[in-house]
Amino acid sequence: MKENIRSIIKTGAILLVIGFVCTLLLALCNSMTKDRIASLAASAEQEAMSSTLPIADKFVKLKYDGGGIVTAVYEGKNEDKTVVGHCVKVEPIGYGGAISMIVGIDTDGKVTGVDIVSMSETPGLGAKANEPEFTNGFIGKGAGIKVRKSGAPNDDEISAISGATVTSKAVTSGVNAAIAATESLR
Amino acid sequence: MRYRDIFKNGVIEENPTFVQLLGMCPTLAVTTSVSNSIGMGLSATFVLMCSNFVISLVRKVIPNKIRIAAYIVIIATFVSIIEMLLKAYLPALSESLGMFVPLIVVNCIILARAESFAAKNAPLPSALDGISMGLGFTGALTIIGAVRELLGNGTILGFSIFGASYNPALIFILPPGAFLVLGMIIAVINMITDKKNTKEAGK
Repeated sequence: MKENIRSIIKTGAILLVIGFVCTLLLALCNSMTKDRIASLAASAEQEAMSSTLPIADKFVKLKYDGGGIVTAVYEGKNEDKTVVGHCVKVEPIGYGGAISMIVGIDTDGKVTGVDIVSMSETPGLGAKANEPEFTNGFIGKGAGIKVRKSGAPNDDEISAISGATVTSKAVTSGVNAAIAATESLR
Repeated sequence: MRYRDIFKNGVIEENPTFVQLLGMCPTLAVTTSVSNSIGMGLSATFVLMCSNFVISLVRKVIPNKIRIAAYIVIIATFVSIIEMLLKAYLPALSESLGMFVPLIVVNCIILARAESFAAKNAPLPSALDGISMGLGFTGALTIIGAVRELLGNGTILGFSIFGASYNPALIFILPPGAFLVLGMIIAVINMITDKKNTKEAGK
């Protein structure tokens, strides 16, 4: 019995040491890389915002608690500090989970650009959503965009990516939600 | 000579994917393109090499009863370190591999090699075993990825092979395509080994 207890304590102690050393290593590695990762993520977001709203060169985060799939709203300002539009971060659900994207909208409520930051859509099908061929279709459109599966799209419609209707609809719903969010700010 | 055997064993004779049929989840999931396959394979190779080496170093200290728990902690530590390093220094690669990097922890090839090789052998052969098995895995993924990308998207590494007029067979980059391609490749390999075996038996 005594032997048994001793061996249990010994086994536990060994696991404790392994866990301690591994945690120490991870903490060290984390403190070495975390600033770099954070600054990379921030600059990637800045880049995505200036690509969707090219007329602005400074972005300020606004307080937004409208909920839904809108996760953040940024105000885009030009050199004279006048507001020229908004960048809205939205996360609609696609075929393979959430699609994280940024939508640029000018002061008239028209889309100036769409950029997909991350997604897990099917390669070759839904993943085509980030190609300019699809995202550029949104530029200049206002509220209430619809998806068209076949034929030439009307002014308020966007051509679906063939074989990826779910993704096309998700991205479109994200753009519509972004437009609605900026309208509520006005 | 022994080192050569370990290498040949990992890459060909006991190829983790085509012969041992281990690690089927990443094999089926990430092989939609050649670049994904290579990225996944090399990340797994790196983890295999490091975890095999460290597990072999501490193999005499760890009691039998808690070895699996200890191995998993060591493997998970390496995977987390690699994930952080990839994110900080190779953000583009990290982006394209996405969630498959953390999933290396549950790749059963790594635990299998820790159990069956690193726990019984010296550190250097263990590291070599990790590299060989990893390269065998990478090679297998790349073959499957190449077939799927070519048939399902008409490209290899993003370059168009068949030209714009090719109408891709989308099923090959969808999940069923993974099963079809894997099954056919294993069938061909079994055919070749069967032939070789009967030839040897006839001698």
